[in-house]
Amino acid sequence: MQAEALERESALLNVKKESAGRRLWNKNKVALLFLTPWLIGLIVLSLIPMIASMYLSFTHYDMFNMPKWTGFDNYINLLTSDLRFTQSLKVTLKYVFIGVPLQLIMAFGLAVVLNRGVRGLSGFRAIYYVPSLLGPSLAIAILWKQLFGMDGIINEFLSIFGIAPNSWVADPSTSLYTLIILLAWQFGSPMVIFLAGLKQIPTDLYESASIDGAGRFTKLFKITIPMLTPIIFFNLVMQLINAFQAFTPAYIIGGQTGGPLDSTLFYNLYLYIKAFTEFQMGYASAMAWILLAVIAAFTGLLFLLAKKWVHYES
Amino acid sequence: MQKATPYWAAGKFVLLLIGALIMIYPLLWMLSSSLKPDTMIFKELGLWPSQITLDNYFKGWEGTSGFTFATFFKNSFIVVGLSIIGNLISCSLAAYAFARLDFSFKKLLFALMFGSIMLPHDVVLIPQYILFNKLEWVNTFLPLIVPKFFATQAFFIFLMVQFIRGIPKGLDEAARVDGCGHIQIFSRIIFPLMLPAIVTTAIFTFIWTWNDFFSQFIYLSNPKLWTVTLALRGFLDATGDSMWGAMFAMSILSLIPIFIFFIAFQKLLIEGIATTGIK
Amino acid sequence: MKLRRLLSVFLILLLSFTVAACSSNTNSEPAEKNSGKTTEKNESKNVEIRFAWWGNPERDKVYNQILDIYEKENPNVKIIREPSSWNDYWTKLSTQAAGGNLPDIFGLQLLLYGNEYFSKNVIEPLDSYVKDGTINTEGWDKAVIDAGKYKDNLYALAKGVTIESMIFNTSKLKDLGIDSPKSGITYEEFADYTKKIQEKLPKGEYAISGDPTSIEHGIEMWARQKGGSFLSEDGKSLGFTEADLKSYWTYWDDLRKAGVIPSGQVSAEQSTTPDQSNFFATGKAVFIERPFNQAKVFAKYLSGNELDIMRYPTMDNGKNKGGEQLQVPAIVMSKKSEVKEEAAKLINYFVNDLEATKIYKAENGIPGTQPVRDNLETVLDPLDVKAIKVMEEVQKDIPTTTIRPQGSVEVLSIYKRYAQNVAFGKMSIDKAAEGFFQEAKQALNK
Repeated sequence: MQAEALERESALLNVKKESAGRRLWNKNKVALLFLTPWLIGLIVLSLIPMIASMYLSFTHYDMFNMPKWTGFDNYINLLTSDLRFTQSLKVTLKYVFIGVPLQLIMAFGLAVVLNRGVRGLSGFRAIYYVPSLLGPSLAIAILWKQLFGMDGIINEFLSIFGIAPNSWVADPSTSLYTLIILLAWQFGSPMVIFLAGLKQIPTDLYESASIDGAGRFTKLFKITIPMLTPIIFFNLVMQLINAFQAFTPAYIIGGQTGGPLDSTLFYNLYLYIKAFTEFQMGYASAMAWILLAVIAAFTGLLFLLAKKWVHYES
Repeated sequence: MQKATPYWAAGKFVLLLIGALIMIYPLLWMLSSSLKPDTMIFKELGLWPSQITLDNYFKGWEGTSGFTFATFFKNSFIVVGLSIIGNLISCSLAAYAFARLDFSFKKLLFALMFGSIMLPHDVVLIPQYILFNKLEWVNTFLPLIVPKFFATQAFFIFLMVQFIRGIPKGLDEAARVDGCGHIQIFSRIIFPLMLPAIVTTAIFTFIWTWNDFFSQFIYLSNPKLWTVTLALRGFLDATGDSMWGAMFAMSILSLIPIFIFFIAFQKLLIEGIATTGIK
Repeated sequence: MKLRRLLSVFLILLLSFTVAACSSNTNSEPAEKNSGKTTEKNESKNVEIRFAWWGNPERDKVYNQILDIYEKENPNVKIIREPSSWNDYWTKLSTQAAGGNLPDIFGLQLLLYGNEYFSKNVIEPLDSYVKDGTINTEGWDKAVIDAGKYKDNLYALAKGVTIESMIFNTSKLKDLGIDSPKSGITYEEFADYTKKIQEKLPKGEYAISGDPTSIEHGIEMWARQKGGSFLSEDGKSLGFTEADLKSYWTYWDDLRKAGVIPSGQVSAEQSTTPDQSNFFATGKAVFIERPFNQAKVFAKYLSGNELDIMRYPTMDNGKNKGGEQLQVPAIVMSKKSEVKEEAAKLINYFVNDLEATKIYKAENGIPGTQPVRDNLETVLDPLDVKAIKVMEEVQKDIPTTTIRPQGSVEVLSIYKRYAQNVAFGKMSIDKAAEGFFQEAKQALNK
């Protein structure tokens, strides 16, 4: 504290002698040192392409010929007359708001259980991470059909309870849920992040709580969860963004078209179809910016709410 | 930690074991499929192959166009290894600035970082492709590796920011009193203390880069440069005969490095902290 | 200082993007005509040719074998091979086109993507190479050459020709005690015939594997048989009437109700399962609708069964007896290629050389040239020999093949969606037809 006060005083003294530009440079030179690689990457690899796509979103661009300026046409078409756009938004929102909470609850629960105090801990951790290693791969695509198909194991299991067989992957009212199950089942990434976060909680907090006679659940709610809020917040934001952008599950497992009856038509899959199979890159760019706005709105909301429940070490 | 009652511990163990079976089932299924003759894979759905053959492994390993999986594994390792180094350096530097330094336009820059995470990849793909094509980087590993040295996977910046925020600021201040500059604080205090985030970044970079298919197939056309993931997709052909057996066999092989990497690094995740011991 | 430098880097990059985006158009005609004549002198210069195709490692072997021989015979040529699987191929191709980085030579499925590429000025016309003798088109079927034409220019040469057909399992028919279908069977006869088969099949087996309405070939053939097409030539309107569509859907809906084709849900599951595991490949169906070059792939899965190929049902009260389209996987050259003369030679070698085509055989369908077909007679798979017969029969009574106009891809996906609604019973045929026409018109008038 003292050092900070001293620094501030000397800074005040300096202000009078130096020009504004000099002051700006002094304030930012250290940050610039740390930020330069990222800034270059941001400008060259993200901002310029983003500006380009922003421009393209106001054009008709078939990827071969020069883009033709069409003003707000793409946006107007999307928002007023494209039924598949609405459908893809619906599918994606469902996927996000059912899938992400499920996945995070699984991840958090298992991270707490697998943090300590179980025999064969690291073996279990590795096994529980296996589904995420596999990713939404071709092999999983086949497996999912074998599990949830008409002749699948799930039907065999359900028949014990007298439930009639159904092709869960081909029934438009259930096909999306098979992909949600896949998301929840591949909870490894957030689990690892939770585990890393749990490791950062000082053990003496638990020790002193034990001395005060706190039980398992008291410790969970009074120590673990509050200490972990930055990590919970991180996982929530990132998984939300990820789920909004989900593409591979629908592309590889859903069979690339979003079927049956557009029930697995994820937003990003529709965008991909527009861009690469129907050659409407301008339209797809407009879709990308709408998605960006939707994600930004939800993320912004999370950041606003975060002030109420996320505690940072001060 | 208080001592768990034996019933609680036993119950937990059994539940975990059942869960583990569900988790590992697909792996066993893949393994079993990879050992079945190509014609049996879709006829016999059971887990236990009635006829075991290693043909798929030999046939799969041959790869394509005169390049075996030895080449594809080598390529994957080059891309993954350099990506990890790139991400660790560039993302941790940026994260330190966002978490600990005060500078102009901080909020705006932070928002831009998020913006770059939120925009769908498909649309920046074309402009990026044109850029890399101008640089004559298409059909080299550079478009896959160089961006990592410029912290384009902002996910990891945010991850590290969250972790650095969890490290008590008192530690920095104590160091500053001792005469340390920002570079020393970063390299001597923050970097070692955020080891969990470092390990997590390494693990995820490994897995995501290894499995990343889209950018690899856009930039690498020549089989000489193919990665394992590209070669796996090459086995399938929607208009003709797909080589499922070879695909399963090589998928199993491709999991081995990821799995070893994960097990090694998650150990680090546990032991690393025990030795640094935050108070 | 720093800021200014950064800004200039930014501007240069932005500029380079816009230049690249324009450059697909700046390639002017006269420059390319010059390059055609000066190449004599460059004969012995070392060149690299990029060659892209779709396939799998088995097919890659065939390509590599041919290209290796070519390299040996032409030591100054090095061929860079760029294989990929079907689904990924098209995404990569359009990205490369946008980036101005198309391979020198690449495969193109004409029916699906021909016009999307021809109309965009990225493909080199081959006429001048035919005129100067670099590419030989003697002995080629007129219909096959025509399929590679766009606005009177020749753009593409067929690697093979295939036709949508019905592949069937003769052994299974024999087991049921039913004769093979007679050649040129009409829709009505085919419906009765398959219903007869279905009655003898156990539950869980089908006369026809999958739902023909779930893909576009069926309606396209129906429209052509009625004298129309899928889309009008200018791509601005549909080439068939609402009544045509209703009668087509009704025909198949009747067979769906009879159990001849699986229900909407079962078909939907079938359409995304690997070929190895579908009803036909596992011996649970008698017919499957596929391009006839795939018959030998199924023969491999159904070892011990005898397969045969039948042309698609014919129409006796329509304008044309048959409506089949020649599906042509072709080979084309990029307009931006810097090694055009050498690329043209390689194309010629690939489609005409008797040694090369003997290796390639009927990998992508039947060759479109008589000398090559004659040369292959002894080495062809028996199913390919049957395919040649079907092709000869079909060519007698079909209208000219019309490559679908630009924009058809979007209409196809709209069609498939409404057809699936009918198959699932979610929409009546009348309502679905009305909805399809409305949405398709909207898409076409954009």
